[in-house]
Amino acid sequence: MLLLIDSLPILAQAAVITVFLAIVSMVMGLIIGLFVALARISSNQWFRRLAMAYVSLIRGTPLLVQIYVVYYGLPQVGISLDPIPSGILALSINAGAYLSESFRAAIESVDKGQMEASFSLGMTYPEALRRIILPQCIRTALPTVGNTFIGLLKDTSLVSVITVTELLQSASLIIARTFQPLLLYLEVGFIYWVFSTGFSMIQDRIELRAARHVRK
Amino acid sequence: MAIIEVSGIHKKFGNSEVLKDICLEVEESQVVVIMGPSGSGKSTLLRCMTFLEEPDAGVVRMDGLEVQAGSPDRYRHKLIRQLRQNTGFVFQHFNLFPHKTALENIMEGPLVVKKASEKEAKELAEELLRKVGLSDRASHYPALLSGGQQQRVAIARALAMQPKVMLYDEPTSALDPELVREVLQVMKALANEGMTMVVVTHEMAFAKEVADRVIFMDDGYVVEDGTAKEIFESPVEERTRKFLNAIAI
Ligand SMILES: Nc1ncnc2c1ncn2[C@@H]1O[C@H](COP(=O)(O)OP(=O)(O)O)[C@@H](O)[C@H]1O
Ligand SMILES: [Mg+2]
Repeated sequence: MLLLIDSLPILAQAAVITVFLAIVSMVMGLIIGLFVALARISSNQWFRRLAMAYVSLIRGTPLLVQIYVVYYGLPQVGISLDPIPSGILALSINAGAYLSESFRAAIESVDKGQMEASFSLGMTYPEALRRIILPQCIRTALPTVGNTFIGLLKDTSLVSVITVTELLQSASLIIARTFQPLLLYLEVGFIYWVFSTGFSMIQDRIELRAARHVRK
Repeated sequence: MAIIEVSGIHKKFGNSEVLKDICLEVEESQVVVIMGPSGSGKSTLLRCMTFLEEPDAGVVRMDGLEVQAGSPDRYRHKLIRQLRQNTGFVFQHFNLFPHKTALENIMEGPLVVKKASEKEAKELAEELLRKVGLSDRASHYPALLSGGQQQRVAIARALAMQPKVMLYDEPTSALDPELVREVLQVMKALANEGMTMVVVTHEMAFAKEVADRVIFMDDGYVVEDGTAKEIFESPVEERTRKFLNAIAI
């Protein structure tokens, strides 16, 4: 019991790293996902193919392998990144692929008439996207975006393998000292659960707010 | 000189030719009603006139601005956007922006395309809402408006760009019968102010009362073109007669 409480401050600190990794990777993943989604629906077939290849590669390989490629593989071609940037890069690229798919679905679900109405006023494609199409996508994409974030939060545990002292790694370090794996891993699991559940409650509230003006 | 000059418009979808060498001239302040059976190419013609659909061949001249059918390039894109600014388009299904209020829908064009200030856009939008009789609905989202109200907002949204020409693609055919009148009234008032309009509609009464010309289209051709009286009372073509009999029922 004492161990649980003693370990809490250290784990809390590590949890901050975990949430930080998740949030930064999410923001970057959103940006990557948006551009990849746009490439995916573009009229240029090379953009489309490139985007499809990216999504297929990322979704078809384990995140762990992607992390290894970034951290251990890239230095061979002269790109050496510290553990945390490596982790963020791998996580963002991974999340970006999944997010691009939900953005694409959301963009395609917006009625064709919306783009036409925008064009008929004289808007450019980027103007129509920014003002009319994307704001409507956010509502549709919110559930999957939220789920991606929660998945990402748990996936951050994988970057422990490249010595980032996030939640899981920090628990392992305590275990190496105290030899209490069951207790500590359960505690860590519980902390992940608290964050996941907390964020999914926030997600529910955001979705409710976003649904305000819709009556179908 | 005609404010709208459309000539030699061809459009194919796959193997079927939907528009076959359409020519059309409309004088300033004229109201032209286009009728014809479903699938005859009326919507496609209207859409080609603002390049929402790319014609395979032909020229569109709107208020002195000429755009040819052809491959897209930057300069041509810009011309097309300019042409669209001068040409209001009203859709059968309104296509209002659901995430914006009635007022914001109308402000959108001036704000984004004309880079008007928030204040200018708002004043203009309020004035246009008054014009279509919906001042009390300014802060309503489209989902809370009736079909007739939505279509009136859509007309106001098109007018906000201060177009020289208005195109309507079956503006009342998605409406419940009791809501048709309020939309037609707004359109009539606009016609009386001298707006040049091309209206695809099957509202005979509107055509008789408002249209300077009625055009009958069938199978991608302009079959007949005359005054409402001529077309309705003494159509020359058998196809026109058949169609008029069918919609009169
Ligand atoms: N985007 C499209 N792709 C393929 N065929 C189309 C498309 N739009 C219209 N068509 C076809 O072109 C013909 C004319 O359509 P349309 O112009 O909508 O007729 P109308 O408005 O007179 O009912 C129809 O046969 C329709 O099926
Ligand atoms: Mg039609």
